[in-house]
Amino acid sequence: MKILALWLALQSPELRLPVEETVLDNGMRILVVRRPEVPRVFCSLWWRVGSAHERPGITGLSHFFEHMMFMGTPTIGTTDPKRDAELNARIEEVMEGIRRIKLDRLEARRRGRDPDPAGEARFQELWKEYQRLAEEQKKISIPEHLSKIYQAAGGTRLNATTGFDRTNYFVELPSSRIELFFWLESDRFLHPVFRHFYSEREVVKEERRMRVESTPAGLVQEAFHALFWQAHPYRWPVLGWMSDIDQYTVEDARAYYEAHYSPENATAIFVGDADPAEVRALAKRYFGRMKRFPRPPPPLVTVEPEQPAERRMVAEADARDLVQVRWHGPPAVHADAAACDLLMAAFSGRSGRLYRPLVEERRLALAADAGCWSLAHGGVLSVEARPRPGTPHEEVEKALLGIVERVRKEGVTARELEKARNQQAADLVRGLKTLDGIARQLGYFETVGTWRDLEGYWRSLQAATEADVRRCAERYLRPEGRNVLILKRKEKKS
Amino acid sequence: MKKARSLFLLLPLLAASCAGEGIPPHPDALRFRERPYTVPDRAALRTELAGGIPAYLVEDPTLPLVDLQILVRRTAEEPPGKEGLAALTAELMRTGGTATRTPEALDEELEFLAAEIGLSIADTHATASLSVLAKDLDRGLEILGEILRAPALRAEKLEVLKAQMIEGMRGRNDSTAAIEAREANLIFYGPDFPLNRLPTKASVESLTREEAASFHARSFHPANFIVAAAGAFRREEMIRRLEALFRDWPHPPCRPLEWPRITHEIRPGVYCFHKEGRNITQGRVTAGHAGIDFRHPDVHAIRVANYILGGGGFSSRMVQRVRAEEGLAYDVHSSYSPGLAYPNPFRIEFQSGSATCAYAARLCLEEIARLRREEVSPKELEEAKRFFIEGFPGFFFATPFQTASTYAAAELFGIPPEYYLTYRERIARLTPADILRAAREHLHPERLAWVVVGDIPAIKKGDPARPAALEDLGPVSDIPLPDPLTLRRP
Repeated sequence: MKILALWLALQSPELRLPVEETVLDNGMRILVVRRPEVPRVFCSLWWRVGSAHERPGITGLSHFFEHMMFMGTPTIGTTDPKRDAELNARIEEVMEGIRRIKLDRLEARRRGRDPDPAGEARFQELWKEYQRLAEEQKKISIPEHLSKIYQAAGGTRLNATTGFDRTNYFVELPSSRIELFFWLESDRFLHPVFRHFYSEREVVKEERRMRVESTPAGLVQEAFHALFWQAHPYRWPVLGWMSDIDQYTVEDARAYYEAHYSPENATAIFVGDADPAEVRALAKRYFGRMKRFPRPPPPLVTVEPEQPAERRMVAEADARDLVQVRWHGPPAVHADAAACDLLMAAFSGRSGRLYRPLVEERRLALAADAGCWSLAHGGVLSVEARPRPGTPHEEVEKALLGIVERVRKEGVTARELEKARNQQAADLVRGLKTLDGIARQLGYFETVGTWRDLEGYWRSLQAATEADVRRCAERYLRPEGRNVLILKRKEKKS
Repeated sequence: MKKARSLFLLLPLLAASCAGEGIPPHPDALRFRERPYTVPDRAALRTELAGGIPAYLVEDPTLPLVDLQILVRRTAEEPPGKEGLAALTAELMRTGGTATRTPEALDEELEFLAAEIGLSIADTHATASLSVLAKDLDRGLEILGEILRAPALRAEKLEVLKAQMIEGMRGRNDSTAAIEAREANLIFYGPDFPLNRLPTKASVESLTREEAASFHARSFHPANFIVAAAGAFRREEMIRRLEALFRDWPHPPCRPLEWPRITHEIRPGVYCFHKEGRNITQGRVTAGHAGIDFRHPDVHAIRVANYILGGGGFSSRMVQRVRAEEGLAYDVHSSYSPGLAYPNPFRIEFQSGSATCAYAARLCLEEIARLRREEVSPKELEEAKRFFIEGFPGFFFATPFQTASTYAAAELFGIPPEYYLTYRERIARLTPADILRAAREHLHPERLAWVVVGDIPAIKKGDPARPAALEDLGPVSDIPLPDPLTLRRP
């Protein structure tokens, strides 16, 4: 076990973030930041597993796996683990039959034929059998058992989230009860049973309908995202495509677990009134029992090719008019990441390059802003404006791109750079106000690199010059690298 | 639950093989040292600035940052036909410059300092906020002071602001979530309630700079301020700074308005709002009936009853039933949060595939009926109580700034110190009989008004495999969506 204590100097001598790092023998990293003011600890577990680690056919499985991790283990979630295991096995047999019929349906669809009626009749029989088994399993289930245990201990903010690069599980606990986190988290990642797999599949479909399909521009944004990434697995949504969600199997989930959930792929972060020595001892006892898998998690090798030509999507929806232009940016830990953040910050805000000319002076748009979104393997630089009703989108696009081109040619001023630097620094400091804010910043860097990259990022932010920013504008905001979304409000039928 | 209890006795045998050295076989066997928690001393944090302005100030040297919030009891009303005046005034105060700074200079200076100033005017109070690096505190306060005392409210900003507000309105029927929120408020509070006096294109177009100036002068006076601040400052110095800021106010104080009173009676039934679109595959449902405010003696029994019913996140019965067991919704919950200025309605909210909305509603009603019929088990009650007792510091006092703003809001709404001091004790005393009584007295399924938004024909059609119909919930009416700019319905 290695123990490192490093003081991360930020902003000024009075701002220090003491991070204590322990690396367990199995490779899992443990970070502790002590903030003793309130007797609470924000406990989080970050896995370097996200939708980018999936493949076509199982898109969204990282997110679905996150849901499955709330379904319990032989100890948690059931009153009869033996019968529960038998029922799970039986359900799998039935669902395999259903899966085959679903594959036949896909084949019929591919050939433009109607599905085989015999298959459909068999489907109904199998479905009834599945429902019978699921009903029986319900009788020996303790629904949301893990959540109940956490919440009954005063656990708040309990949840988990999945992104392109990572999945994180978190809860804020009274400082006297953090052992519960070690118990439940080590148990769920040691002994997952994938219980209620198929009813939870329906929950995730509802989540997709809620977050994407039934929102005004959800499907358009999803399609634009898929247009932006050509080769990289970032191109599919974190929630996955509906047809893939419908086909997940327990076998898929188990194979995914075996490929990615080896302990060296995780970092646990504790922020709050936690004693680092106690955390170390608990981590060793509980997480130390998780053995490294025979194979390390597979590396992500696909590199997004340089975009050869502009791409464009013109869409209509019941949504506000929008012109958005995106370019590919550097990964979060790339040497250019901080300069790109500064570059895009110069476009942002009411005093940035876009707002005043487009909204106040030329009155072409009602809002204008810019952003920089950095992922582990790439980034997104974007500018956008909301055209005024009656103003052609093309005119707004031309004005937006004119401003971008000018920055590419001339760079930003010393004052703009200083302002952007102040804003990035203040954002970072504000991110450290709460226990979960600190955990999220460290966790983000742990999943795009290591938490020490936070310090490297900070140094780059301080060191970036006008020349760096101009070079990044030139390199990343190329005309042939543009991805343009024109979203028009759908005309109402008379 | 009997099964669950006997399980715990068996578990050591079943799970022994999973346990490692020093690891108990089940988390129920873990033993914790209790750490006492003392509620922050409200009197010690409170001070009265010159002129009797209450301020809650918490020194916090952890970060080189200061957060400040001023709560302002609402003193001015929007005249009929001038809906949108409060929002326009707040926006114009922030973006319309001051006596010494043009709007452009103000934006540039704030963004150069990476300072954030926010202004909002709600139906009960206004909020002004400042977040600034500690080294820039004096400049941040100076700008906030200028904005609050004598904003320039430059007329040339009006056209863009109005166009932005009208564009915001144009999207009123874009999302089912926005339709649901607006229509539920109308049905729960009635069209005349201040919360529901919504701007229209005509009302916004009629607004003038003079009206905003008058609204500002009638709204912002230190006599109605309550201050909360936390960060890297010395208390005495902060008091001096704030007193200088509030001295010699240029206009006279106004009398606070009464808290709005709900006179509307919620009419039970099902109110359907159809949203066109092939992509609308899910219905959004909100049901509600009249609720309580924080003064109600049953406030804690209701809080715990609601936690068990649908407010307790993953642990709640509604989530277990509708989501975990049936897979019908990603989000299903109930809320019975006590109102501060006026009673809040009890609400059930979920989203489900169009065909299963009625069935999911039926399951929610069954859970209400069960809570009204049977006492909760001692274990379920104990778990709910522990959530509130152990989670207490995180609800109100998680950070120094939250502590200051909790007490500032308490002073605004008249929440006595005992509320926080006795909170955990009052929760601890609750019995299953208290929860049953609270459920019977305060949950009234027959009084619920259901707001249903989505593909209404598909929702009405339902799912033959899951028998339930909207009619089972009460008389069904179809209400057309209003024109987003005039709010007139066809």
